[in-house]
Amino acid sequence: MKVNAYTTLDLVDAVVKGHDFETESMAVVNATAERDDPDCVRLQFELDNMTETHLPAHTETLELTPEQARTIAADLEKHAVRVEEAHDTQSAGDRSDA
Amino acid sequence: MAKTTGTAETRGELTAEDVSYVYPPYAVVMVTDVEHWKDELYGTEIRDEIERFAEEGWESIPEDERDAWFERFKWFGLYHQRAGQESYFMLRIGPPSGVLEPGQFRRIVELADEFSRGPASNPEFGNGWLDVTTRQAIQLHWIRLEDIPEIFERLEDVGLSTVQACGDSWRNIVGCPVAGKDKHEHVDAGALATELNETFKQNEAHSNLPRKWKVSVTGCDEGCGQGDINDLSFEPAEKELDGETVTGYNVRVGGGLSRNEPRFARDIDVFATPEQAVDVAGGLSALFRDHGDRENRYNARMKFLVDEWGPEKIRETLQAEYVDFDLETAGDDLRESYSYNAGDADGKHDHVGVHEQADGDFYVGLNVLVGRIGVDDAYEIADAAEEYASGEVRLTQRQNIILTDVPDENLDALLEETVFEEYSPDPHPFQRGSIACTGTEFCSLSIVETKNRQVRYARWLKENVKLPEGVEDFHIHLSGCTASCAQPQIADISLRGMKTRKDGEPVEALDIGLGGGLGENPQFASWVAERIPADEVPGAIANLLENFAAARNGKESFREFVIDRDDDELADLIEPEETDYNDPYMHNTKRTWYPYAEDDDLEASPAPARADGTPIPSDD
Repeated sequence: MKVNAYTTLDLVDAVVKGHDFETESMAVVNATAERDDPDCVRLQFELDNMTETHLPAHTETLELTPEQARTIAADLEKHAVRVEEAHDTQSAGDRSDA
Repeated sequence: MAKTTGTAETRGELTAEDVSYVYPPYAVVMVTDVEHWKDELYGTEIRDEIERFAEEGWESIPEDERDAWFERFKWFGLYHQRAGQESYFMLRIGPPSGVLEPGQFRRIVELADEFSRGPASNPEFGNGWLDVTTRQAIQLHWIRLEDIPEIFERLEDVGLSTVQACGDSWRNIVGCPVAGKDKHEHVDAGALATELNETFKQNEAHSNLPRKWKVSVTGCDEGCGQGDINDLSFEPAEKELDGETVTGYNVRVGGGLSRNEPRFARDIDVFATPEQAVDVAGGLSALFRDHGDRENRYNARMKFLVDEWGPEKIRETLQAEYVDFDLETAGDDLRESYSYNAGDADGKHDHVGVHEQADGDFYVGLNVLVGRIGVDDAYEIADAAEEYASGEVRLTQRQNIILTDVPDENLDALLEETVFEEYSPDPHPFQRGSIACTGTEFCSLSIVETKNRQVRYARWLKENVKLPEGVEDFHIHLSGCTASCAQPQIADISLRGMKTRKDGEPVEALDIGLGGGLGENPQFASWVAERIPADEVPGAIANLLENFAAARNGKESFREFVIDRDDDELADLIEPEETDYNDPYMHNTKRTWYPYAEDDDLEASPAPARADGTPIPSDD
């Protein structure tokens, strides 16, 4: 996968899990669509693969309908808010402890 | 604090990926738009529009038309700089084969001195410099729109031009920088490069191609044209025709390094005499114009058409539709003796040093670390070239310069000039072998800072690392992203911009590849280590070289050593570690307005600015 300043995320924590292995790694994530007459939204992942030993080097692409893409986006938004709120609560707790 | 890695917004893919140097202006641009904009107006007609906007000032470019205009401006060698540097442009001057005739280098230095001054200084290079590129061009930054007409005129006064230095057409034709003077020359590559330049620049039939078109002409037995990484490559060859041995060129097509899809140019089994070469080049350019993919810019380069068709179909189509004479099959080439950037080959790996020309004079190849020359130094170099030699200055694909035509009796005096202590004909291998792209200083594609970092790497390596016995050439190329402008895949050590997390914080990092190079059998580097924090890379290189010295077989070259080992084994030899090397650019420099400004936050940017440099206030 090409990686430059226009790649959506160039550094994401990732966990690779199989029946007999579990590895923490990093990944690149890109959301995009074909330039000409796009027929789907592509959500692309590439796990760092130079040192990962369980899987061959590969990328994965989800081909999403606009509706599916929006569903994912909405879920991501929803959970992002939950994580932020939990973090804020925790921070407030930290402050009250001080 | 700088934002964390990646950005919150979804950017989508950019138009200008796969460009040797990229400044897409704003947000997402659809590729269909680029073809549409080109259909509306492209080529020589753009000049009048540039003049009009220059007359009326930056604010006269309607905001919703900027993407279209900036795309078109590229055809005249102008890239709008990145976010945070609005209203400033990079200007590229492309002399064929890098040959600057007497007076031309000085003119560029004068223009850099007068017009290439930014709102902040660079701690390594000050303010006011010129950059020699890996395609034998010169780039000036911080150029204001209002100054461009005068710059164009003053370039033209001395026979220089920015035409087609960027954009979707014939780019600067690269080739042997010492053509016409070289003892290693078999065919006059300079003559062909000049003829191609005259034929295909401002040639309406070849003005609007699906994508950039990079051409290389090599005439020597050292392979210094680096044809293998070009869309079209002419390489010296001989063939017996009608009982006579004729010197000319073999033809290869479809090389290129970008998009994480590197390709070497493929042999299409064609020999062209010097007289036929222009027609063959025109035929292939037209074939690309007509059959390259205009629907998808990522698939547009010639290398992908060659992937799809194969060399045989390219040749058949060229013969059937684009030339009106019978193509000869390939002749005997000289690839066996190619040494330029070839890792383990005997012979010259670059043009640095003092070398005798065919006419008995000498050329002096000078090392320019990461290609950047400050204007004061550049004036001194121009003075020396005029006082002791012919005044010619030539540019190489290793970001270096050459002074030609130095008579034997002037050599000592020339070399005593103090400016050549820094721009040395005998530099340390770590400085000699360093190449870096533009990076986040100006380029919107890059993920990391590059030029200053590479200067600091070279300095630290020189002071701290001993090269293994017999290793005199060692190339380290640093590219800020996968666009590969520093040609990272063809170096002993390839460095490519990435991000990682260190002590919980996102930091600039580099992927490390090993063992690439050109030569008879070119090879791309094998990427073996990922996301090494940039401040641990010098330690990694030091350890790698120590491990290489300990494990190599006799005087085995580094490239041979790499070929003999698999990636896992090589990865184990890279042991990143912190040293006393200090890296001031670990933060997310792509999110600054200028990585070296005292307040580098995007919000603190003085751009856009009027012609006099005063910031233009934002509407909101």
